[in-house]
Amino acid sequence: MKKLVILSALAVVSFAGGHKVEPVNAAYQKECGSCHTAYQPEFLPRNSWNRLINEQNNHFGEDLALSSAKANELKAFLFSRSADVSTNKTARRFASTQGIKISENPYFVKEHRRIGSAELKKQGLKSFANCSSCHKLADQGNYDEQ
Amino acid sequence: MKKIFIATLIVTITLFAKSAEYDGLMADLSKQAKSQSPSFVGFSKERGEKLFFAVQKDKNNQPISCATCHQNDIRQKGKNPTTGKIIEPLAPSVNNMRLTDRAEMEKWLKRNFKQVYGREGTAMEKGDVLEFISNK
Repeated sequence: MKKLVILSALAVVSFAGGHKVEPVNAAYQKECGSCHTAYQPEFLPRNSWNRLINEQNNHFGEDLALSSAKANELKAFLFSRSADVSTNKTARRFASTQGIKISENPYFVKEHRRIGSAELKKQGLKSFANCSSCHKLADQGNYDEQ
Repeated sequence: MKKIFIATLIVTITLFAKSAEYDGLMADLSKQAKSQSPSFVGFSKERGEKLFFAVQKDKNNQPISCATCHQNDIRQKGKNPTTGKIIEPLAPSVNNMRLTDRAEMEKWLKRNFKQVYGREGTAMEKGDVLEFISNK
């Protein structure tokens, strides 16, 4: 019986510590969340965020037209909690990403391996860019399985 | 009577404050348009409407217009076709946040003209589109 209690307690703890990161600030939500999920800083390391903002005039084919003041403001926020500096358990898994695509991170790929393009299509999506289609609480930083 | 006067004054000030940044941007665009084309006499919501609905080819050679994301009726919510993200209505009559922030207007005009037309809009084109939106 005691073992069962300990096991249940462990299960609760590990569930609570699942895939949760901090919510983002209002400025970041507005600038980046207008077109897609405002991916929390924890999902890319500093170098990747730096490159992504520096290349804002060709952001996956689009010019974001951000002022340099705004770009610097976004960088400061992203760097403060990037995957390589955050102590968050989920963030650590994203610290080794080389490029600027969160969806190419090995851990991301592993976690989404059962979702093929057919499933995305069923949801009316062309990419993994709108996390909250499946993770309803993504905007609050909660990516536990739904 | 005095109360009504004050109430009217407050409403007037609020309306003015809401459109001050819009008016400032339109005045500057108007100056630019005049310097670029001496025959320019003012912005036109009809020309703006045409620009808004004219179908172009996007970077993947697919048909695109402003209405692709913002809908044919801009009082409705729009949707980003790639990510599925919902876009709040563009028409100021149903979304009082629209056309109130100059930096936002300039950023989105530049971004969206490039998406749809593959280039930045001219001062006249930007003013025409704003004129069209502001009347909705």
